[in-house]
Amino acid sequence: MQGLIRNHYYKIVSKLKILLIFIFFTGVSILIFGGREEIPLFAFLCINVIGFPFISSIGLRKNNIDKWNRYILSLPVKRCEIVKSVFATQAITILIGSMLSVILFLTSFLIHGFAFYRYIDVVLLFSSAIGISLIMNAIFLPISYLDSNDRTEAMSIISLIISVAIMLGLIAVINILIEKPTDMQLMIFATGNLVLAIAVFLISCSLTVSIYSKQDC
Amino acid sequence: MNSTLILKNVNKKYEKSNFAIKDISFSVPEGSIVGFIGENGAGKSTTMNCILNVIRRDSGTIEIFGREMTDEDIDIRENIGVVYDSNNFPEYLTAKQLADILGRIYSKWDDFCFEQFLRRFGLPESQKIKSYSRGMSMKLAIAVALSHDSKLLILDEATSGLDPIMRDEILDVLLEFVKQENHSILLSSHITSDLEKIADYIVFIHNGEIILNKTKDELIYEYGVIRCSENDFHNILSEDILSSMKKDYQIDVLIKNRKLIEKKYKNLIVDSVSLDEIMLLLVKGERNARID
Repeated sequence: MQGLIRNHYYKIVSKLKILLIFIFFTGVSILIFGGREEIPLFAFLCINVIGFPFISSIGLRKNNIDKWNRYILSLPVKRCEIVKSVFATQAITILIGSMLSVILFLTSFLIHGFAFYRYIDVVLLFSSAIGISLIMNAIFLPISYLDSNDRTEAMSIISLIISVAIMLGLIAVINILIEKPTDMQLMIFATGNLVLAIAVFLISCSLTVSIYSKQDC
Repeated sequence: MNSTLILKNVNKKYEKSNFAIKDISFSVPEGSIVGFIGENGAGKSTTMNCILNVIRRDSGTIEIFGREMTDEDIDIRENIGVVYDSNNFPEYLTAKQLADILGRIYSKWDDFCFEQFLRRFGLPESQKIKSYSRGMSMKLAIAVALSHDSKLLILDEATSGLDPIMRDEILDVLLEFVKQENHSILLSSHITSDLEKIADYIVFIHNGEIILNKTKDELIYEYGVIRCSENDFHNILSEDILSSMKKDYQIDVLIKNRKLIEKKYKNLIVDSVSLDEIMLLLVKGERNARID
């Protein structure tokens, strides 16, 4: 699986060079000009944790036109490893995006001071963004294996919208159930949210393995 | 003689197009080159994809190195080198990056061997594959196929679209590969001249069915073509006719056992026949029956 993840790494770096450069300069700009405000930090988090994996998932999706996908099947790799490598790569991109955001947030707090109302707000933001990204991939990647043609780019956007809607729905439910949640309750919600998103992501991986193992390519 | 690859009664049907390969049976003996020929759309790639498990066959058996290969049998795929007709590798990679990827996949990947092939073929290590010409891409694919101690090469139209000099160079490399006793090649092509040069066996597929499976020498030396008038054609017994094709002023008749036919029909001239012409007569002519 190492070789397959290395393959994805080269693909992401070659296709997303401009985005990565954009992320770098955006981060530097926020540190210089906008670190006192919540919104630039929130935007940076969204670009890194949602935007970057979103674009990466479109690049890594199964594509019947791409003959390299067919060639990979002749290599000494199992179909389940091919699928798992895609999911692992997406998990890594979400992790990298999160780490870059953590670094920026901490650096910004050191330079400009704490920009948010409460510390728990930062935790909730990260939990929600990571959750959206994981659920988006959990919806989109199996679909791309079921129906690998150009329509899947539209499906990726729909997957993103659905995952955002699910997250907002969960937040709305908590707000309805608990009128003034304490920091501890919000921390439990953030943790539960993350655990749920990870579970959905892992189930989606198993489902996609099952889909791909039965397919002609 | 042991066979590296054995196909028995392999069937695969595409529901959408209704195209099917039917009862495909042939083998690739150890140490030999089998040429797999057929016109475009005959079923060559479908057969190759069934062999490699890229597509699932409906029925039949395919044994590679004595075993049926499933998705789990990665040890079998370690010993198979594959070359497809075009764009084997992503354009954003360089040869060096490709080696980095494949070195982590193949347990017997040989970086030194790969670099030697790159030097021999004049391929730049650090240039993106998108800047390679078609010939360079093919050479790269062959370099990869030969750099992990493979025992069986499967080439699907690997020489299509290449100039004669490039094709000759690649054929020389393939001949070198098969010099080792336990190395074999299955080479599909519609360029029959390439197969005439290097193949030991010829398997001909047409409309999804194998209609010819012979040694190359038998085809070249024992098969022949009679070019005769319509009158003379009616004097030829139907059991002697494999296939016939009417042209403007003559009828071309494909026959077997050239020496016997020459003695039998002394007034007719029996010419030697190329694989090209055999293919043409079998596809476009009126065939008598399946040729065994």
